[in-house]
Amino acid sequence: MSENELQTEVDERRVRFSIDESVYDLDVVMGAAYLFLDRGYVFLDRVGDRRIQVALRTRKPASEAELHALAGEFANELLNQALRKRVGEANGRLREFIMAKALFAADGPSTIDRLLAELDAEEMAADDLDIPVPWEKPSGG
Amino acid sequence: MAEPIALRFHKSLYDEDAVRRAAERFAALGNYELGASEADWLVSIVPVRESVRARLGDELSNHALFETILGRKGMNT
Amino acid sequence: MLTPLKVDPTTFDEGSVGYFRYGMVGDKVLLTNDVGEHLFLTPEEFRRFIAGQVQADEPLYANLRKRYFLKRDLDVEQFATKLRRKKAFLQNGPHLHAIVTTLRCNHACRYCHASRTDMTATDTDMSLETARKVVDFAFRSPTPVLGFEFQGGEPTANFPVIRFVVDYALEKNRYENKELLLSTVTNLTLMDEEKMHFLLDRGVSICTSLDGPADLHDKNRGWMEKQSSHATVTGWMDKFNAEWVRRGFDPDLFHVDALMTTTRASLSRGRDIVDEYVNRGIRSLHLRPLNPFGFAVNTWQQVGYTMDEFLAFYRSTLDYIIELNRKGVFVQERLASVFLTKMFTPDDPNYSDCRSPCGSGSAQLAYNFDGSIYTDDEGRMAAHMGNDFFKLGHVDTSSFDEILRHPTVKALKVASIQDALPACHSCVHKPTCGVQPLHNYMFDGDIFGQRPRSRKCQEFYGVQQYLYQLLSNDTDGSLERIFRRWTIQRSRPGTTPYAPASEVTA
Repeated sequence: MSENELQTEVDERRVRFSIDESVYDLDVVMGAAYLFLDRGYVFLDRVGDRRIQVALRTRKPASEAELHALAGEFANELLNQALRKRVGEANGRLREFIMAKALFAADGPSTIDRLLAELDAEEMAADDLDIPVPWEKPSGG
Repeated sequence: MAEPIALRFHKSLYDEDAVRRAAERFAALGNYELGASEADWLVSIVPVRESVRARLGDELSNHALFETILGRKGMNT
Repeated sequence: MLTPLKVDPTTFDEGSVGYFRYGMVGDKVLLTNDVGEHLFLTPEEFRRFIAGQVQADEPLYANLRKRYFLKRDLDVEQFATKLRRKKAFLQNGPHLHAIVTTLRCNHACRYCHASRTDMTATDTDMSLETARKVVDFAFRSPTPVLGFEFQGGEPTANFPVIRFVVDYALEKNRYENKELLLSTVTNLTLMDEEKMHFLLDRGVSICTSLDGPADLHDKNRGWMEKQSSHATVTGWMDKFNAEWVRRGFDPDLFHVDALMTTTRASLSRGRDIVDEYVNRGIRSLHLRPLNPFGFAVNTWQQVGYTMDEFLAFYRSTLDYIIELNRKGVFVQERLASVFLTKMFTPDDPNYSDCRSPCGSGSAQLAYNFDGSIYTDDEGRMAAHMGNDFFKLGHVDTSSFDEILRHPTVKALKVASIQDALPACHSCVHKPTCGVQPLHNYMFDGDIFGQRPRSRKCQEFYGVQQYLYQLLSNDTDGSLERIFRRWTIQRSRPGTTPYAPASEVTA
């Protein structure tokens, strides 16, 4: 969606436009809206089954051109948020797999480290005297 | 008695707890009541001072949206 | 932050493009990813990249592949190993233990809200009994690197506790065998020869406060004695530094470090501040903004500034520091070096104020004079201002395990995992940034929620954006060579590291 494609309504300090949710889903709209919360006031409303109305109100007086530009920035951010969402979805499972592999690696030394840390944690939890064992120096090790 | 500011937040867009937290956050600036219609969460708030009237509804609405988005599962997570 | 770039998400090629974050730096598109790699593309290259149109025989393809931006040909094992190394800090317990030996202080600095008391208030001194419990408690941390940092008040006002903790920790470490780092923050105005030799003999590093040249320093730091604080501080800095040289140590590694705090009066004095540091042999300067919470409105109006004003000061001062480096004078800016270490090395510097998750309560702990344990020194100060949320327990009654599992520590971790925070999770600077929930709490009353463009977000974003902007114009690689040098931490062999313990890699 470009600025030109937006049907905007402008009144004092406020610009309104609606978004087709079948084109930009709620995650994308919310992602863009979040980035405008420090720019002014953001209101969302539902104006149809799959249409979300966005109203942006500036904190200070703004010209009509500035309000149109603000709507244009929102429209552009929708495109960027949509791209980010696609990048995230396309790589979500791979990222989870890599994260699990990185943090809970099943290779030699790291497994030992992890087991020792777990044992230490158990010992710490079980020790009434609260004398934990440093993980790098396991008892008897 | 001062006229209340009436705010509505569509249930499909705003989280109920988020709206409540936003109202609580601004409780020092206005006496609020929460309600609901079939489609919307409703907030009626009477400013404690007329000087805050102009911004109170806007700020509360912004905060309700902030809390709603914060509570959503991020798109990349 | 908005992205002023025209993109067409429908052209995205799911099969070939790996996970990346992006943003604009000048007229270039900056790509970053989870292991801290970065690459600048032109907007046209970016459009071809997301559409999977970069051909395997193009130099750009090799660049993208080498930096793990392509899903096709991704070396998963290598990427996971790199990620594991980047997040290695997660495996250790708290490594930095700040001990408030007393709240007494002989200064009344304009920006200080460190819960100080007058010099007569000896009831705010830590006892030796409490000090012993603090050391015993800290040694229970599973971290292989253990740092004690004395803070206050003016910590040397209760020197017997410093003396006790240093000797007891060194003795205890004979069988604990950790890498032990000892440092004290001090204004140096209560120093004497005997104390100096005690600290030097035991390898305690010194970090003082130096806000710049005499007029600026003395304006910021009101001293009860009506003398020049600057003259006293720099006099003792010179004595310490001379003594290290006399003992045969490398002055580049062994010298008094200093921290400065930026006030409104500092904003036009960047060059003077840097010159003051360089002339005193200090190679590391941290341009620190004021924490704006806790000020009376009229005080803030006198000493405070907007974050935009601070960032303008930061940029011009960093430019000068770089200019000096180009002339062969080595001096680094500490926050920049934290970010640059994340950008250019396989490691994370474990700077607990800029981590995901944050290090409050999990990388560092603070012990008040009475033995109360806090998430960090700022948590202690927050408690002084009436917010007890960051108090975790007491050395008399709490077990180490209880502290690590404290609901506040867990909450702070959850609240600072950037992958779960709106805007942060997709921010181009996410891989090198961090969130400080305590700041959110102080400003907004809850730890959750990095408000868009909060003051800390503006600071971190602004600094990183400027570093990348400089790098994007570094056509001959000369700046990158300087920046890479800033990422090298030279340890003081057998004693303490180059940087203050609060900024040290664990």
